Amino acid sequence: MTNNFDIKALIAEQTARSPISIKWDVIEKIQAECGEVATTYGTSSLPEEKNHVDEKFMQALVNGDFLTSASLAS
Amino acid sequence: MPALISGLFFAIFIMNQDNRKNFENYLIALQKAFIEHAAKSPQLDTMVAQYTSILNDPYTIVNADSAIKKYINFYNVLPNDDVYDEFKLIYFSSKEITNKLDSAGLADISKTHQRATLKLLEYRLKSPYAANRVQLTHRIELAINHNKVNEHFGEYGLYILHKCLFNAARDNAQRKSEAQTGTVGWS
Repeated sequence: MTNNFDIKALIAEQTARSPISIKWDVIEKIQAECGEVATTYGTSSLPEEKNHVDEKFMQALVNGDFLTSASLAS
Repeated sequence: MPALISGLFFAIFIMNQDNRKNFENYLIALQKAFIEHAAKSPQLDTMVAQYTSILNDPYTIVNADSAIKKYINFYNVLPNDDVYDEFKLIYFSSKEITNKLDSAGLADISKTHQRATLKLLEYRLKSPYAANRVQLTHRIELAINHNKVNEHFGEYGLYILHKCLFNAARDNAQRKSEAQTGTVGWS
């Protein structure tokens, strides 16, 4: 099994080579062109949101804390 | 504000900056989990490059966002604060990514992606209520290995399963806390 140090180094190398880059301007344009989502119950959505995501959990995700737990790949 | 009109909900939707950041953070975490699961593959570089191109595709978020809205509208879900909880972010984004990978014939990458998703869902169940179930994870992994996730769990089964486990654990913890502080029946 690859140890956590190696995994983290590998992840750093791979993510530097293939970075996540979300084009929000393009997404906005697509959503504006497509309009609201038509659903079974009509064209609708929900109110302007407050942030509902658990901040600690999201920070743990960003930090990659889950990588230190038992790996399914092992 | 949402308004109930003839049994239908109509409201205005705006994805705020927090939710955008959450989407982005989730995709970053998913990529890390994917690399961890693909670490031993001799084609790792190619797999990560192909996978990242799907993550970066603007339609991934557009379609995931649409899927969340469709789910909420179909089941008349009325969230107290926000539609984008962790489980919806993880599940609906991942499902869209799976669809794209399967459509492109990238079966191995799709399976690795689904294992990475399962790890994040399990990780969310672990904290803070220890609601994860090792046997459940193992069985879902078997479904992934045999391409049976859709057949066995359907469109929303995995999402509902994880969300209900989490909510039940949270409610139990809340009841225990109320019992310990003697607030049961007074709230």
